Amino acid sequence: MPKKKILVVDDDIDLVEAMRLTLENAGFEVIDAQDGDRGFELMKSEKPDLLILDIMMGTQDEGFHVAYRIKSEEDISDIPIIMLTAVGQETGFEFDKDKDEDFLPVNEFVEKPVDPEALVELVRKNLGQ
Amino acid sequence: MNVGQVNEGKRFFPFLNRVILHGRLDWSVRLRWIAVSGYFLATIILWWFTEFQLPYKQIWIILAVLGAINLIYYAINAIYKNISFVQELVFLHVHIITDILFLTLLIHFSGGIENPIYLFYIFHIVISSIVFHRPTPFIIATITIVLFGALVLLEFKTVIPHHCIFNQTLHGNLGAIIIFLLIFAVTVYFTAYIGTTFMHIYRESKRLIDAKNTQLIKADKQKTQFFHFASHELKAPIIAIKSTVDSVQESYKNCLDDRAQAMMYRAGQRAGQMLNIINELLSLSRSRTKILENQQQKIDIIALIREIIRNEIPAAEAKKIRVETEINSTPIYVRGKFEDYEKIFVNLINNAVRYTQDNGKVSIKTDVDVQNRFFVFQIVDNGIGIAEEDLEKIYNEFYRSENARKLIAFGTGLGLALVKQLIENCGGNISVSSKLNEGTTFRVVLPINDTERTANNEERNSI
Repeated sequence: MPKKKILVVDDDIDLVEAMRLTLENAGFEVIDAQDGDRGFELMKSEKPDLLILDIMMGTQDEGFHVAYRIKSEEDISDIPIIMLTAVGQETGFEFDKDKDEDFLPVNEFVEKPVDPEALVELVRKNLGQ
Repeated sequence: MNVGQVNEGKRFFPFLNRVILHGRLDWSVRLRWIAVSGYFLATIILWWFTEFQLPYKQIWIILAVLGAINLIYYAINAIYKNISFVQELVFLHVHIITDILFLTLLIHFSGGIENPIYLFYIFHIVISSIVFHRPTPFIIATITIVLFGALVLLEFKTVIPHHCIFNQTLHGNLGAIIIFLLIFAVTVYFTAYIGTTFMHIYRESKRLIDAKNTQLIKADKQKTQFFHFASHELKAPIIAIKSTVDSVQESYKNCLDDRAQAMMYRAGQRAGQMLNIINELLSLSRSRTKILENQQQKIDIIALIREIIRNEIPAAEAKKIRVETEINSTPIYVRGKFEDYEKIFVNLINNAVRYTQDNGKVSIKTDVDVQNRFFVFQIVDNGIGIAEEDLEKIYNEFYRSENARKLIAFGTGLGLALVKQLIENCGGNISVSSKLNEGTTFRVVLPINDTERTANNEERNSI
């Protein structure tokens, strides 16, 4: 079975490396991007099996825009997205995937930091494994 | 209209804006209808039922002309909704000056100095004092006095005819006229003075309030920006550290020896603590801003407390702590944010379990007051207690008493500060009594949702 390819888009390089370590160790192939535009390009060219996307990068909601762009591209709109956020309820940003389904074009919504085991589990679940 | 004009207007007339002015113009038109029809009715009654010999025809012509003018005002107001601020001000001047002229004419034909309707001038002075700044109201006051003075003096000199209403000789008595005019002048100026002084104070305080308001809005914005900054900038590094440490620990499980594993684990724990502190601190600062009415919901506090106790039982059992409960069996509703009430009771119940030694006891009791207005929650433990000198400090941020630290090394010291803040936001209060090494009692009183209480009472009454 070929390795599943996961794209990690986050502007924090250390966080990307930490996730890469965990995911590679769990048998996935990891590619990464540090900003939304580059992430979108990689989505188009590499067609990964899953995307892990940070919300707050250049702007407060860059991740959202990237997710919307992806969902409007037919060839990549089916790729599952796990969205990460560093801001929980403190800023009044409260998300609930089930409640905001129409609003959030993502499969999962998790608050950082994600425990390595939980991350692998979440990825496997969304890959249908 | 252009923006510059508005600002110009605002600068000179901070109290006025176009909407208010336009309202004034409409108001002025309405008042004029009442005045014209009232005056007409009064003269009709006089003409029909009394012997008064007034030049009714002239009076009615004047009223008709004034009515026609008012119709024009009305049409202008209806058609030109978007005239400039300055134009509106000009209109208002025209209204007042025209009214004063017409009132003078009416006074002339209604008996001059004999008829006390000259007191109606005062209305114009009051209105102009409210609407205009000094010196305009005084100029209008002066115009009024000059017009009225000219009228009665010309009648006195018989340059123009005097229409007698009382068949007396007041209009021919110079001394009386002068006294009347002097008193009238004083009244008019004093009215203008009172009106403009009051409006000056009003405008000044309005300006101050507006300035303060702008300042507050700005401060609030800065606070929100700080939350964003703090959330992202403070949390990002610690999240990266924790993620890295956890990943290394997880991924190199087999390469690291036990000691290294243990140290990595501890590093991860410490990073987690740091993250907790940041989260609690942000949560505390946020709860300082009172929640808005529309964010409130109706919460069954009994169900919530039962749920929290259920979740806390395993921790208590692990320490062999006996948890006794005496909880109301029917729902009790409060208003607010679910998360806030959850934080309050999780903190209190969790604290009691944490700071009670093994084999201890925690008892939780809920009740309502006699009038069914307040919900009362009491939690008693026989734990480490709080020294008397520490009691007043327990709600301080970052404060942890010495014995608390001895028993459990880690704690943010923010829990009770947050609990107190949240309870106060909900309109309740918290009190504590404690004895060192004997135990602590926390008592929370929260207002019960009013609408629910009324509904309950009705239900009871109907049964």
